[in-house]
Amino acid sequence: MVSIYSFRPIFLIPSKCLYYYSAKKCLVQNCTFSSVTTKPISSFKGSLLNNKVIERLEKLTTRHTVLSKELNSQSLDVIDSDFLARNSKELSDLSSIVIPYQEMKKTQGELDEINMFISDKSGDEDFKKLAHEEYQETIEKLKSLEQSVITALLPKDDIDEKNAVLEIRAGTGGEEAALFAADILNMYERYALLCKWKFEKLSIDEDSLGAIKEVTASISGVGVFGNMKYESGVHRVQRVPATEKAGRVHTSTITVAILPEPTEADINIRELDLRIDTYRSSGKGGQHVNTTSSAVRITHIPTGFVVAIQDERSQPKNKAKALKILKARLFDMERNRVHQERSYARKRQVGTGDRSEKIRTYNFAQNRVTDHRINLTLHELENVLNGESLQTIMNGLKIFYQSEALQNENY
Amino acid sequence: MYQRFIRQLLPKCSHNVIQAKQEIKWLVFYINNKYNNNYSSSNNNCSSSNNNYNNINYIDNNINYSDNINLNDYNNNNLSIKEIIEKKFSEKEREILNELIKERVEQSKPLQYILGTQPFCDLEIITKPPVLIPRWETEEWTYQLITKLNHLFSINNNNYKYNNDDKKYNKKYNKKYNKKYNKKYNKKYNKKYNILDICTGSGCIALSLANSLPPNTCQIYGIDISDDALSLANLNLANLNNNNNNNNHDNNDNNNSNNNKMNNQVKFSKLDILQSSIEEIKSLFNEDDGIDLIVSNPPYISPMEYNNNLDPDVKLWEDKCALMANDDGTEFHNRIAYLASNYLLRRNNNNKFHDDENQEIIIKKYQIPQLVMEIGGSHQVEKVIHYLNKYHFGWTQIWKDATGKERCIVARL
Repeated sequence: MVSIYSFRPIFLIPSKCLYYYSAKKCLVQNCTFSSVTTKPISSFKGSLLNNKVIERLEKLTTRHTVLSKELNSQSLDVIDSDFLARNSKELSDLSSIVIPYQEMKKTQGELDEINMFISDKSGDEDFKKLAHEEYQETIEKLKSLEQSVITALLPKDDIDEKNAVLEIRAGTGGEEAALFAADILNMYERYALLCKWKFEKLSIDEDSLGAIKEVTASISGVGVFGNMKYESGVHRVQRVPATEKAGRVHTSTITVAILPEPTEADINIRELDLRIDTYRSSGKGGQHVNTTSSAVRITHIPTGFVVAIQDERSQPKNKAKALKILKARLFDMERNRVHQERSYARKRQVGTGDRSEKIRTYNFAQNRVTDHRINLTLHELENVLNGESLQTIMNGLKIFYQSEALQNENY
Repeated sequence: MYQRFIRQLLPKCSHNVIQAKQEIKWLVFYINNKYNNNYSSSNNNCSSSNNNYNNINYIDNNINYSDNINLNDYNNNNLSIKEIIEKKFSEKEREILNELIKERVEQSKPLQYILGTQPFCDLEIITKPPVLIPRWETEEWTYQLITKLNHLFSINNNNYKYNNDDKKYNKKYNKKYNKKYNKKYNKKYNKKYNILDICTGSGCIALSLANSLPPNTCQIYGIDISDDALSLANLNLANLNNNNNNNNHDNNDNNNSNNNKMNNQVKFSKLDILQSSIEEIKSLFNEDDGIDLIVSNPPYISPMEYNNNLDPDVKLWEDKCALMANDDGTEFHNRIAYLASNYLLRRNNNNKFHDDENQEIIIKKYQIPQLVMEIGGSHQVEKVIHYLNKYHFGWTQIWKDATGKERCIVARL
């Protein structure tokens, strides 16, 4: 099915088609590959799905049809339960992909029809206006359907459902960076609140008066890591610091790391590998002394990781917190190693590979937040910092990385 | 002023500045919660981890607190302790803080008695002189014990679930089966797991076990010789029964049904374990029921250690009868081992807690003991093991604490 639309209007009657050309243009920006497209299946050129993916989807659809026929034709007298279980599992897996895909194809058909109306030279102007509105709506619908196809198509990462450990460190910029770290901490805390997640600060290394050098927090809830994982990286702030008397704009940076929190099964630390230090470890302990020092420092000998916690009055609780952080770090290290081994063939690292990459700028003078990975700028700094608009950025990132993953996938 | 307080507290904190700062922080929260709730974060519980102040961490000795930059626009909540003392506190509150620090330094009053509570496992245990303050070593092994015991209780739950979920059976059969199974289940498991805590003190071990083990699986008895200890233990029990709403909320666990009660029943009674006759001891429990697990943190400081070498915090404030024991501090261990072996513990073959063959496997796999006794260190190990062998405990093991010291001796018959 070759669309007439994709060639004609731009060249023949540019003035009339300007508006949907611009609609198209913004979609095409998202599209990073389409150069090799030889046979577009629809006028929806902004599609993130390339021919290879379409081919695969068609194959899956065929398989889906065959399977459902087979299952329906099974005689009820001779039920082979093994066969039944296997195939209905496959069918339901396929359905999650095929059903939104079919819906998407249907919508694409509708889009083509609308295009026919719009590009019809003899048409009524009012009618065209109506058609144009419908065009926009359909594009939106198509986009969301496509997203669900992509999500269904990509292998599910169990890790996305895990809880996360958030680490924020002040980078260059001295106290101003530490103050900004406090702002970012507040942003994530608010965001977690909006998502109905539990946000628990594990340790804060606080400079004087609300400036934070380093903070670790645990975020738990549904799908925390999947949502937060693209936040890792260097965040940059440009503003006049509260500590600056001459009113000059400073640029400072902080580092954010989001680590998936491993469950018991994910990571196993041998007790022999741990050295646990407490104050007053000399002397007899027990009933002989009544210590109030509850600080615990755990060293993981093979890697040299050190975690020290002393916030709680209960020493076992401090120890549990420290172990939690240590486990998250070790798990993250292991995961990065595996990830790097896997991704050597890829041209670009996907996801949270590089922690030293500058990912986002918060510019107070211009009231904007820009995410450099997807070139997304929001002119509502306040709303981002109070966590409300953070989801917009995260959604953008999700779409970007998912479509990238789709292209890199081998099948 | 802040600096002065820190300097005052230093001798009490083995000259560790971080530790002194922590103590001041806790005292400040205490005063703040007790006398003035204006700028605390709505949470009255001083040591709840949700409290903003509680998460402030003063790891850095080199922070220069004289940097006086007005940053009230940033994070009004996160005032430093210095700021709270010097700016937010009224004259009266500063005076109270001064008094408390004086008490702490000059009279060696333990911080836990000043604050009135000590966190223990997931509970907030009330502390009152002269009852022994729960130690972190005890908390540590209690955690360990709870983890082990939960394996034991997960057996019957799993079995039950499995039979319910099995889709092979049709509805009718399932109903019938369940009825039968339930009957069997009740017969099998309505016997509770009996735990005895000897020398219970503030009740911390008994109450933590009751709170952290699955609902209605255990009956817990706590005994102590001291009236002070018993009234404090009962106060803690009453306090937890009232407050358990909060705890359940925190844990987000299964049991919403009994909001006003602990998960399991606890009963405290007065008993002198050394002098009482067997009949007196047995009369505390149901006649034919044996005890499945005995835990104890008995006094274990030898008279010599007590007289010569003990922190004033401990010696001046805590009850002598909770600390000192004869026979090099092992008098109680001997007596407990004797009673446990001959009279208290349920014997394996005649009267099991439930006769599931899995039970034995779980007990072996997770090394669940029948007797847990805290000890004072490596010098007591040999003696206590000797007692245990004398009274036919076939399997013994030593648990070490986080500093690598021998802290508990555990055993099975």
